[in-house]
Amino acid sequence: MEKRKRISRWILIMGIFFTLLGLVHIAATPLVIETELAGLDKGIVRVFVYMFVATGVAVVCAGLLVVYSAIGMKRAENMAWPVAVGGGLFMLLLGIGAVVMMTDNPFAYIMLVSATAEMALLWMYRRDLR
Amino acid sequence: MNRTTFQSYWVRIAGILIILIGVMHDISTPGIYQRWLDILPQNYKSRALGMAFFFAVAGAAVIFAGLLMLYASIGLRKSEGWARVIGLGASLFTGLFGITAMAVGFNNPLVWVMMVAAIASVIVLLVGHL
Repeated sequence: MEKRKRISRWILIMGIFFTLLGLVHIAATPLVIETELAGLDKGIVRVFVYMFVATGVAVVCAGLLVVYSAIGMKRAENMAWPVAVGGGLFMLLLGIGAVVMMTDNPFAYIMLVSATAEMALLWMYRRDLR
Repeated sequence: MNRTTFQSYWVRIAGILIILIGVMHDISTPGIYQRWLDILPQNYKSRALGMAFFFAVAGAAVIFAGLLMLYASIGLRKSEGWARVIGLGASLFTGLFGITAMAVGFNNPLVWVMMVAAIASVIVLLVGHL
């Protein structure tokens, strides 16, 4: 019982961290426009900014999903573990893609490491959390 | 057909539609990458890969939201609270994604289908709760 609560708390912290990471991503949009897209056609900039912000919103939503499932795991609800795995897998895929595409971006590595840690926790303690 | 069964079927069908649209979105990524390579000025061509990455992530987020709707439809049949929260969250995310896509200028029929399916799910879940 105590073990499940302790692990759930860690998953909750991971979820909050993912949410913050997504918010940082969205907050960085003006900087990206200024440094990476300056001088480009407005139509192209609009499309890129849309995709960039959508990625940030997706990360925020995945983080909130992990938070929600952590609360469910604490209460020993059956649905929580698969939802947390889904959110973790999405973040893991995003982290792998980000590291491959942006090798010089520290946030890409932070995302990959934190998503791997979350998936490792969910896998190692699957019997306690399900 | 009672109310919970109807909600479950509706969210399941909307989820399947949204997954298919997300898959089509991601399948078109190489073509989009090529198009950006063609239209971007010479000194911006290196940005095309990053743009294609964010395009693919947006598609992956749509697929993930659709999968969540499918999963939620199982719980909706049993009137479980978590299923309503997950189904509503995923539908809202996809609906807002569609509305903002239209605002940015993606007048693609698939965006319409995705937006209508998601908004209809939000309405069905909200009305069904009353």
